[in-house]
Amino acid sequence: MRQTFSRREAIIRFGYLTGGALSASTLAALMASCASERKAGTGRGPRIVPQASAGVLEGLIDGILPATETPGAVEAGVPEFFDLMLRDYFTAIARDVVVAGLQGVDATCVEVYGLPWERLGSGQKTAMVQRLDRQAVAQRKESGTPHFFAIVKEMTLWGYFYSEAGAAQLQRYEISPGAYEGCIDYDDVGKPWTFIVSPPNLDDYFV
Amino acid sequence: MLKKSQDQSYDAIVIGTGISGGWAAKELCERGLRTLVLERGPMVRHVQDYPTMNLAPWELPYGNRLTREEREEKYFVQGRKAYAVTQDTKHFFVRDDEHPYVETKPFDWIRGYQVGGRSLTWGRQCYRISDLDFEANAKEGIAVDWPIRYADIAPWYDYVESFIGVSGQAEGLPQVPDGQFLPPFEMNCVERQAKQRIESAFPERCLTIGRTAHLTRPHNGRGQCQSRNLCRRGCPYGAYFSSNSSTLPAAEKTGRMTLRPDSIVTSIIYDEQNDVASGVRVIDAVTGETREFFSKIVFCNASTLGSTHILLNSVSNRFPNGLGNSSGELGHNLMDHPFAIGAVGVHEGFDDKYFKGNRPTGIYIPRFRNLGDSATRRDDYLRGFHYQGGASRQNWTRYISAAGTGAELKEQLSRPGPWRMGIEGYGEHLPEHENRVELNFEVKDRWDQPTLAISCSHGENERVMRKDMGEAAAEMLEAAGLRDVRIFDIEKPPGNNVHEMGTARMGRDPKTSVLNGFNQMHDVPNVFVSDGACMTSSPCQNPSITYMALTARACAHAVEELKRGNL
Repeated sequence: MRQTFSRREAIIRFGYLTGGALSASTLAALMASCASERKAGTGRGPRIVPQASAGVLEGLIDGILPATETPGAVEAGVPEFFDLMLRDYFTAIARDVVVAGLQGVDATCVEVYGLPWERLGSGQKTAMVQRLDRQAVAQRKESGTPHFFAIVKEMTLWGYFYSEAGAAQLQRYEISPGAYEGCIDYDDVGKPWTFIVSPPNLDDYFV
Repeated sequence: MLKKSQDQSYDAIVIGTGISGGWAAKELCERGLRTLVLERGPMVRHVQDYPTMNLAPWELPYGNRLTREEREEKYFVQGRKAYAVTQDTKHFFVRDDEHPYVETKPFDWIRGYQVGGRSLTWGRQCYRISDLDFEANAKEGIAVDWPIRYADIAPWYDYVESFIGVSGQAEGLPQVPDGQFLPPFEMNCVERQAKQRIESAFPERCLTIGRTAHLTRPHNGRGQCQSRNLCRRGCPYGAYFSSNSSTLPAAEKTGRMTLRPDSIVTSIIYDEQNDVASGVRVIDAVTGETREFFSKIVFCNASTLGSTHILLNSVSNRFPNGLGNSSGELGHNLMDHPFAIGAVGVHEGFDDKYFKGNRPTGIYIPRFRNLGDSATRRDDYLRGFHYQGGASRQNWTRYISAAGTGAELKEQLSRPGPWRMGIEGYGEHLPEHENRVELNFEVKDRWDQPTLAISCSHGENERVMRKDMGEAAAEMLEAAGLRDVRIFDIEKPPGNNVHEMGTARMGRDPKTSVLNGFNQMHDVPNVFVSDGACMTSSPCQNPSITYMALTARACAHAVEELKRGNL
């Protein structure tokens, strides 16, 4: 029996985060100011995530995409990006889910390891992140309602791949690749091409 | 009425600068007419006014997503078009808070008000319509007969395709005739194999590369496509067709065009004594000042609903229900292609294969239902559909919902994911009188003009066809060897495909149509409507190239008629 999924599923996958069906020089100036807000190390504290949870958030973001041979998500400015998105992009419902979820992390750490997040060893932190990831995946499958970690993870990926580290180091970025070649060896490219979500795109219907 | 002065009187007025308006400007100017071209939105100069065209991903705010305020207060309709309106393109879409309309039934009216209109943001797919389409209404007793046939428009398809540059592969199919093609884009490895397997399983069907208004080699002073797929930002190479890159510069070159942005045409002036349209009334979008302009002929190319809005608002003693509306059909028979139905699957293998560049077109599976023979005939619905789609390797978004964190996740992200292929159906929408737009005087816009109330829905034929669109897609992807094939079926109201057409249809009989075979109003012969409003049916092929061809043909006729003294 072939599986079909519907608009309701599509809304669950996209719409729950956003609560909805989900003058050129001014524009350029606005873009410049917004883009600069998410640069790492601006020294500005979080606005939406309570200060007490900032360390947990940064730890989760680092746990999702740590530094390897390429920068990690923290260095790429994702904590600032995430806070900006909580302020300007998400609905109040999503914000509440994230804030409550972050506040609950310490309680879970104490339950499992007897220690709050900040005092866990690195192996324990990794295990916590994996645990939250499994919970998020399961919750998406079962009920479609957002687990706070799913929001954190999506924004970590999104913010990372819209940063220079993600777009130009982990991926291969060429703004004008030249004449299209349809069937070449992957080894001649060596990395995934930089992907900017751009319609029409069947990925619109699938996450 | 103000006394006419030199800067008020022209040989021709063109309303609108989009896909068809740019063509009217070019043709009328090149054929010797002093032409006033009126655009309600602001100026957009090719390349100079594409502020986002070269922005890197990290230079885009909010990860290129619209903010909450933008989604809820500024682009609450435009944002319904999946991912079309993003930070890098929003300036080419209307602010919905500034341009209200009434949804009597759900209708997503996706618009762009600027010089170039939606030719800046369109999908660029170009497919000719054929006699299978032109004859269908008459054969099936639906709506009215088209007053033209393929032989009338074929030379004009040649003409416009040759000028703008359309890349594609000739396939010799009567239901979607070959065009004047530049070299086709390549298919990738998976598409090539899928083509082989699908055509072998279904010998009467064809899978070909999309026919698209992109230059695969330099053409008429415009540059070759660099496979950026950032088209909707505007292209620094001019490599896809827009009015801005192509037809407006040609009109400008003649020295006969006067282009006036920020000029909202509210109505056409009808001179009752002489039984002609004499010009247009304009509101300056910025200052609110009203002006009149005069001409011998008027071309309505303000987009399907834009043109009809103007015509409905042009009332007089002779035409109390809108200019040229003695038939009562003005505003009626609105259509838009049903879509967002198809199938996706995973393709094993080809892990060592990839592509170079972001191809700005997908593949195309031409219509294979109801082709007029018994083998393709369906008993459960009329007309047909085509598929657009393609194969690609999954990118980083695959981990938004899949498990994976840490160094292992980064390792996975350092390679592209498995190949997937999907195809999406675009179907025909039968014309129904009840699908209509009307003026609404209770909801006014900021210039105190009545808005449009839109009442349009898909019907039974579309509902039944839709089921086949999903199942046939899945069947073909299974034949292509994909696994985990799933049908997707996402309900979108009319308008969302942005192929809204009809409301001032062509026909043979002035009692049942608004326009004749030359896009000329039966009732007011010096008024022409050659944008999507003119369509008598909605063949599943993407319609813009047809609007271009009809416009070029109508302009040639208009100029001939002027020369003969008939207008």
